[in-house]
Amino acid sequence: MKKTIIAMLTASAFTSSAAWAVESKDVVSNYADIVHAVYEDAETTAKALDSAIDALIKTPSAETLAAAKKAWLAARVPYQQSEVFRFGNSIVDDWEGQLNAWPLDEGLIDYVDSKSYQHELGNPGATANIISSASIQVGNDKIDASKIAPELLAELNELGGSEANVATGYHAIEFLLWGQDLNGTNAGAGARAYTDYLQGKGCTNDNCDRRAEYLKSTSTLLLTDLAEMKQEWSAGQDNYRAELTAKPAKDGLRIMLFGMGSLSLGELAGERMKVALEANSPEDEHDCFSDNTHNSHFYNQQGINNVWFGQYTRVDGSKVSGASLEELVASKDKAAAEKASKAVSAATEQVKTLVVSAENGQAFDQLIAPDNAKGNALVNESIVALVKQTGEIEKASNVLGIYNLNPDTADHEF
Amino acid sequence: MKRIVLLPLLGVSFTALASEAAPDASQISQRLITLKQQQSQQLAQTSRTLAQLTQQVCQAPKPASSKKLQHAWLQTMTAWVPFQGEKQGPIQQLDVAWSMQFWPDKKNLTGRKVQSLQQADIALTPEIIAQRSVAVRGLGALELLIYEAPLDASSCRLLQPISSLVAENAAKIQHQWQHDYQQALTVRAKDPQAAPMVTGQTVAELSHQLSFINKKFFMPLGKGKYPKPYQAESWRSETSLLQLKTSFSALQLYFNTIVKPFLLSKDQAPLVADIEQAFVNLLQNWPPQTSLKAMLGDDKGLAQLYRLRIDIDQLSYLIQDVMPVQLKIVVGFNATDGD
Repeated sequence: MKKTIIAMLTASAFTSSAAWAVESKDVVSNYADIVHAVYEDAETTAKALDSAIDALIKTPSAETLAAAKKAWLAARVPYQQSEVFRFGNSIVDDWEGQLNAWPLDEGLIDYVDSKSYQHELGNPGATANIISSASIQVGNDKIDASKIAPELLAELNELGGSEANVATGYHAIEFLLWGQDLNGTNAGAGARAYTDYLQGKGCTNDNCDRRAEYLKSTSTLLLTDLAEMKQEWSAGQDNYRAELTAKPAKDGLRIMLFGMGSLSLGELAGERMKVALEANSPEDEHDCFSDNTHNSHFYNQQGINNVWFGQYTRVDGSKVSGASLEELVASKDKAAAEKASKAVSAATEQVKTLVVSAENGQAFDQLIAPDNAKGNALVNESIVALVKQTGEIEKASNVLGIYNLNPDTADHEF
Repeated sequence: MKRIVLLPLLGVSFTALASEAAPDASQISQRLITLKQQQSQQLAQTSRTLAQLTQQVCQAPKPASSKKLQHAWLQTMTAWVPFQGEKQGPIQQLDVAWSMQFWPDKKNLTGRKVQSLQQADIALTPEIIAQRSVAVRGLGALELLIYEAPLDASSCRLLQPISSLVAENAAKIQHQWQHDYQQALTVRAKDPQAAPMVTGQTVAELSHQLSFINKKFFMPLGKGKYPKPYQAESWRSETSLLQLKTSFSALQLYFNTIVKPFLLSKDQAPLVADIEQAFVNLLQNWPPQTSLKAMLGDDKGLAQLYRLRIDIDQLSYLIQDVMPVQLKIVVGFNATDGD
């Protein structure tokens, strides 16, 4: 009997916002817990990827290459959920380029098919091919690339001032595992052979030793970077999390809302979906080598979902949850919170249809083909759902009295 | 992101304005309608002229006709500039912003998509072009064909349907400002519930358009010692700096015609004076050159652009940081918030 009462009380605590006042600072604190858990999961899955890369380099085979690809796909699940933390948290935004910059001119890294290769106009590093070059000349600068190491690759990012020169991170690894996708808007991803990693006899496309060094170096750098960001969000330390949680709670809420809205509208609906769709440009899809774009989009949206509902399901299946934006908004305006929750859930469901489509044989790059009206419509419905979600996030911000959503200019608000 | 226009989302919210009387919403929207009717008429006329001239010269294409086409293209591009970056109005409702002009175009999608269309063995009509990539539908594709390609049967095969499509879209924009959108806006401005939002959106448009214009300046400027001339708008015709000046002049006109009277009605005379002065400083210092690409290529040109940047930053500070706070207009999301 006693147990039942406790259960009922617990249930009411989660359903009645009036019964339990939600404090803004608790919402921000729960957000920080979620951020930490997401980066910890990103690190765990990147370690598994690093081990799979070691196995591929040690014993190149179709099986070890497939295992490395599988590990990369798994590593994307938590990382994509972290992108909602980028906008607003400058510590994340300044750091993330080394891990997830996109789109990239892959000819900087390795060989490409010169007929189909499309790169940024005027990019001096677009065909540098670091793997085949002991030294790289960009304008008047000459860089010694004889020894491939994490520090060198980090230095080569944005070579010649071009953001398309991405030497490191998830997409560099993706390219080194899959290779260029030469199928355009037809079915199929990149098809790099494991023999690109065979040492000595049997090596294809030359420089297999440097290619292996490159892959390992960028994986090492990824691990270092993820460990650093996890540390910044660990509780009870002198770090970014401590700074954030010491600020007025409203600043934390602003960062949360700005992250959600910016990812939803400008980045996901705009840059990652609408440009690719309207220009029929598979080069503008996010995970273009692996054709994993559907998952990449879905987990971006899942990240927005996590921040709104204050919950995150970890890669081991356990949950992190606590005071949420949803509850906080509901405590002030129940209708606005319900509308926002509905829009966030609807956007999650809608973006999920891209995953279902890919699982049924039509990946994102096929959906955006000019003669695929149904596919185009499906992507467009996701864009519409994301736009609607952003509008509801704005309204929810109003409810919380947050008028300037951009943390960079919020100082000017009075 | 930083790419252009999406769907008609509220770029701003209007809680603060809603609590105030807004007796001038009808006046503000009327001024907007008058301005946009003039500008859309100009756009429709120049793009019609370009389409007609294209049909004419393509009957017997010869290189000597290129200059005429270039002139007509420039006139159309100049007429399009005042609509760039709009978040409200027919451009959004018709979803034609990218069809009129696809920019930024970092990876030269325009070049690649035009080339692939040239190689495609299909009949090309405006209807078919309208179904293809946005990169081949508008003024950017026309610029490539008019300035880079020789004027011959091959380029004419694309020039004719694309210029016709641009003219069709421009006519639709004009029609909306003359009829449907104009009427709907007039009704909304008279509705006490909707009026504050109409006012707020119209004022906020100044900031949204400025964001787009700034992008035209800052993207090619690049970082540090690495300018990015191919990320400039209209680099092929070498008229990017000219278009940029047209942009700021159009923004000044929008400010003077629409936003200034509203600010004055809110006792913001000092801010009005500051913004007016910032526009004057910027346009008075404007270099005579037409091409950003050329200026980015030498130290003297770069120095002039850095000087210009000071004035642009000042104007942006006043319009995007000071003005919304003074008016208590909530700065919300727009499509340039990504990376």
